[in-house]
Amino acid sequence: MGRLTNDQKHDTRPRNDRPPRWATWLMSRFSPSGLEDELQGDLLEMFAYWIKTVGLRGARWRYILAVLRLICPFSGSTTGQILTYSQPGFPSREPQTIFIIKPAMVRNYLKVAWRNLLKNKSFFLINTLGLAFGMAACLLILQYVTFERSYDSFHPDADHIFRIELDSYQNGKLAFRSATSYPAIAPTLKKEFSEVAETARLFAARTNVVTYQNIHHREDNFYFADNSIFNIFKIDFLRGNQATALTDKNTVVLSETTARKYFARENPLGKTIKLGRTPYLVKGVYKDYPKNSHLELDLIFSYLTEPDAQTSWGWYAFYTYVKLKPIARVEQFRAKIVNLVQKYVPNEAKNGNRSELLLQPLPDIHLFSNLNQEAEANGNGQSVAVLSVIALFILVIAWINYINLATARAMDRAKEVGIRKVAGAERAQLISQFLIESVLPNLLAVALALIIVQASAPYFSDLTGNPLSLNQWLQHDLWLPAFGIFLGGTLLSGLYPALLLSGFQPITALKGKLSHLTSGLSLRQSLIVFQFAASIILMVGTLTVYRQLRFMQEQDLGFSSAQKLIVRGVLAPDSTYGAKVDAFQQELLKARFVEKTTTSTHIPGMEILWANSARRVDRADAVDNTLYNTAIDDHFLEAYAIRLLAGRNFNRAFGTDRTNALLNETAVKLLGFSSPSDALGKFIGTGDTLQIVGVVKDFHQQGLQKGHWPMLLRFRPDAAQFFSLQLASTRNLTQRLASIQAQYERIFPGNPFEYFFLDDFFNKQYKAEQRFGRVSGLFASLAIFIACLGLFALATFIAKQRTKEMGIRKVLGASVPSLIGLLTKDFLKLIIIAIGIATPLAWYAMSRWLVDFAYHIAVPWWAFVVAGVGAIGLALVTVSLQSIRAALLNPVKSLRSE
Amino acid sequence: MKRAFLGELEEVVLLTVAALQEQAYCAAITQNIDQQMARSISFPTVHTTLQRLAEKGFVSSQMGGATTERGGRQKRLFTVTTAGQRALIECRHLRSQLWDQIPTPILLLWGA
Repeated sequence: MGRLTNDQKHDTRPRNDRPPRWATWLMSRFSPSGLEDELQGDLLEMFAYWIKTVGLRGARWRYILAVLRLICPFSGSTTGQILTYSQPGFPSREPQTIFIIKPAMVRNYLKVAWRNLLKNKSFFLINTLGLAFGMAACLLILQYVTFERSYDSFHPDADHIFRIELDSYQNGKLAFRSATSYPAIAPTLKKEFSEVAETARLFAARTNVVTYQNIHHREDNFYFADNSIFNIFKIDFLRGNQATALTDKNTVVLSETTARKYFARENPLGKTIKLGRTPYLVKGVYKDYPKNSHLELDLIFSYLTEPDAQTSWGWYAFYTYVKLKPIARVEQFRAKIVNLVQKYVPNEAKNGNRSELLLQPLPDIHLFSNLNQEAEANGNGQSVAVLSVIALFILVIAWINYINLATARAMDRAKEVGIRKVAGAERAQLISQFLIESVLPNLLAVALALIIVQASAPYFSDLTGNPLSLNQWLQHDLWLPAFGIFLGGTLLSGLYPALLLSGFQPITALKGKLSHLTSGLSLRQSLIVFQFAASIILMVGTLTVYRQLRFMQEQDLGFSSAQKLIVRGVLAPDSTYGAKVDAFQQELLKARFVEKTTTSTHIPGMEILWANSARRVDRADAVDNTLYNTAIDDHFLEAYAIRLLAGRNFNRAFGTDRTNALLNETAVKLLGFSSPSDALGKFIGTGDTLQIVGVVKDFHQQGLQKGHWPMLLRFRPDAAQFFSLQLASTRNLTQRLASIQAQYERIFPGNPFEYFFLDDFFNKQYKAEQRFGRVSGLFASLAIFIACLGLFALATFIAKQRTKEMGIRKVLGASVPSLIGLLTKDFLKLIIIAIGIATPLAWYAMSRWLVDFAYHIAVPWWAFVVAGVGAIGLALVTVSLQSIRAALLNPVKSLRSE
Repeated sequence: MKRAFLGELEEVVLLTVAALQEQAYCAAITQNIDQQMARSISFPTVHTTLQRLAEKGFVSSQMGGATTERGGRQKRLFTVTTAGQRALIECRHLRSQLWDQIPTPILLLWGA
């Protein structure tokens, strides 16, 4: 179309005044032969006219309609009166259609398809149900996966935004990888590198109470941030000016929901709220920050004013975000900043330490980042990938059902194909016939699947813990994949049977000599093998996940978590707090249902953020190691039943224990002591100098995904952020809680009483695995169900086909069991092959999954036995139902039926 | 066909071709009908009708001049052939014959 490009050069009209380009292209491509030029011209003129009469929208619409009608293969002249053009200039034109599908034939195809469906109602039902379940499962998973992958991609230029990761090496070994880094990095990057468009720091504050007049709320999701955060993240202001909202100190902006919580309908701007005791001026309100982000931003306070928070190259508690200019070369920039810290902290290298800075792409943080001090419990990229594979498996299994049944029924259709061919049907027409036929069940299945998805969406989002309101979301993103699955399914599942059926030689087809048709059979067999192999892998996977979960929950944690009630300490302690803490515990111990009490800054199940570098004082060549601190009182070891390996516990009576320390085994090894008793009496320097008085056995501070931390226990009986109460029993719990609460409120007036049970709290760390187990279990059983559905239909069909054979065998003296065996044997062989294929694959996949856990089981061998026996059993039941019926049939009946 | 029959739509289009004379091409005909008649006939319909008329031998066509507003593309200009003229005249004749058969008082009653 040389003409077309030529025109566009002349075309000086604004772009949106032109007809839709795709329609023009369609016209140029498919217009009736010889008429393209004039029709294009006419249409252009008409378009100008329509713009005048019905407006631009209407014009475009009419243009598209006109094009579609002009190129429609059925739109030619239908008079058929005089077929040749007498005039020169009108090129002669046969009423030829572009497609091989003739409308009259389509009607016939649909009619035949419908009759076939009615003839084989049960097959049709099984086909459609299987497809519908498969599609629904696939759509649900697809939604979940899409949501998980959508994290943080709503920011404009999300692919240019990075978080700085800090990797710290001590003695040449990787000590930790942290999501937070030094506050001095952000200004340095901005100053030194021209690629950097903007930087911002976020400081995660601890939970605190926010007050406005007499409204108090405990807030968990707030940060102190540079004002430049608004230039990096998409935060839409409803009130206030985002250019200056956080430039002054002691200012704050709130999300819409948070603002409503404190101010109801008042205008929050210019009001003052208190964080702890410090007042902050409200300078803005923004639209609620989307849920699909790794940050939860309910309130954003202005950045810290301490000098350390500006210039420190050692305090790694700050999330640093960098936005690069679009032209920046990311790889080059990565290389430039890796060793940035060495330039500013030259001393570091001398001590054998090294810090590296890495870039984490913002959209990857949710699924693929697993560092210390993450801002949220991140998603798991691996399980999202596994779920996608499961979704695909289920869909393919459902499609295979269709292919299997369609090819199995090839015999039934052979005569029809033969007749059609004799009557002059071309192969292409037959292919299109069978494709059209596969539209029917697929269409019905899609409709059913959409209904299933709608109905089960709330349960599914419960199961996956997805916070999104699915219904709102369904509108946008469901139709396209649904359509894709429908189209792909129709083509994929329809094409093979269509090719097979249309390839019959009419003469053999009509003679009925197709029984030796083996190629279809072997493919069918391999498809069944695939279905069952996939099902077995899913089954083994589910069993392994459950087993690992059980293992983690039953593992000896190194401390006792039973019947421990945890009460939070007050948020803003004052100088009299120590005395009050003691008084509170004394009161509790008077009541007999509290057996032991202890206080600490951390409890098991928490990530410890209080980290120091420590080194041995007795060695000149000693190097720094990061230790994780917990401050405890003298009852902690006893209350938690943590064993002392050497030395002694803290003792209040000594009065000097504040400068002493307990280590755990891991820390002892890390510092290079030969044995626990070797460490006793030695000194370590962590800013202050502490003497080691005892060594405790390792206990699991965090879930079994993580290993043991090197821990340093300090003695601070007054630093009670948590009270751990050992209850004698859990009877009369409400009553007892009430009395504990009464004591708490009497001794610490004005503080909210908050409590939870330690085992619940600890097990929360396994939530992701639990969810994964439930979801994969659900879909594994669905996959097996669909596979069995297909097997059932196939067995039914084959039993029917062999009715006569069975009759003859019976007449000749075959016993019923031998007949059942004959019919079942073929299928069993396939299942056993499937087990053979699935076993190594499942073993490999599950060992890969288990490696992520610091403490894990071996892949349980019995899972393979259970899955294998289960698969055989299910297949046997499914198949033998039909086999038995066929074998029991009276030969008189089966042989008479002709 | 023994005797070419002229449908109502065909008649309208053929008359418009005759009325437009040198300027009778598909787009112009469509616009003309659109402006003069209360009902709008779509462009593809007119196109098909013209083809049908050509098949019946009522119009002939030749390629005509291109203008910039149509992107430099040629027009197909239609003229009414003698057969077309005859068909139109016959059609008109037939109609007036039928009109004449309606009694005058009734026509008066209708206000026609």
